[in-house]
Amino acid sequence: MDVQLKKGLMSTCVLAIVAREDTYGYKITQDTLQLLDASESALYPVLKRLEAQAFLTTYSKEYGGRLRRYYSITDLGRHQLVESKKELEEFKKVIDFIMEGGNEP
Amino acid sequence: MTKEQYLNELSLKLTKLPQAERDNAIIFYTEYIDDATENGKPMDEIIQTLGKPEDVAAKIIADYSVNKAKEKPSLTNGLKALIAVLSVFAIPIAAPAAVAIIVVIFALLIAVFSVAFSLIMAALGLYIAVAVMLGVSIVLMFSDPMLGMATLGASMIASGILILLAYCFIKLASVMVTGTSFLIKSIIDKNRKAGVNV
Repeated sequence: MDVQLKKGLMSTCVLAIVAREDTYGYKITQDTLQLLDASESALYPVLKRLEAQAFLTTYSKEYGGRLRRYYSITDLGRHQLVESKKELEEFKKVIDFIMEGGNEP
Repeated sequence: MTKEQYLNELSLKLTKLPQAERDNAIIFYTEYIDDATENGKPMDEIIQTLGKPEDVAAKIIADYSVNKAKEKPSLTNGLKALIAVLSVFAIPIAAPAAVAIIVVIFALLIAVFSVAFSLIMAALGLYIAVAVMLGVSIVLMFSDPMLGMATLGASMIASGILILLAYCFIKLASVMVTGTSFLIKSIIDKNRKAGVNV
């Protein structure tokens, strides 16, 4: 897959995952890699960027005697996710058309 | 390699970053390894899927430097981004991309050198003019003060241009270097095979 396209999809995937519930780095990585083929170390820069863009915030919570950093989606992040979904709707039409072998759906 | 060794090495490879950035990354990967271990993954497997500490570090540094160069374009930030980007992508790229990168770097070098050469020559000429005019104006001051003042003024103007030239040169060089690092990054991104490290 095109690298730029994959990067964009990966960011949106992460937003969608965190939008379900607050969660932590390892879980986000595993969930994303189930969908997209990428290296595990690709997720940290993505998370950091989403945090810098104020789409995600973090807080620490105790878990099993240690601290774990949880990611939480912000209002701005939810707004971004809605925008991305609109964009993907458009893609979906094109993809469906191509997958149907070029027949009118 | 144990968890401590891995994290130590990662931390060592990140010394170029500001303390806060490094701490952030180390906290992330400490938790990451803890969580993976809790999921029953042996350390060997965790390292294998995560990649060597230097590769993980290279990615963090590249991302950091490129973002910083975008935020605050300067000659040093541009150069740092260029080096960081080249060091991550030094690994698996297709031959045409490598050729394209070499050509881009070569062209940049020629451009920078010719611009630098012409600017240096212009500066040298101006410098001589300033020195001569300054000397002449002092002598003239005694014989014909008006002409002396005029010559002094002209030499001031020339030295102003000299400073302006130096400033332009630094700005131009920083734009060129930052531009090249983005260009190379996009060449590599386009040429990399699908599925290889993002």
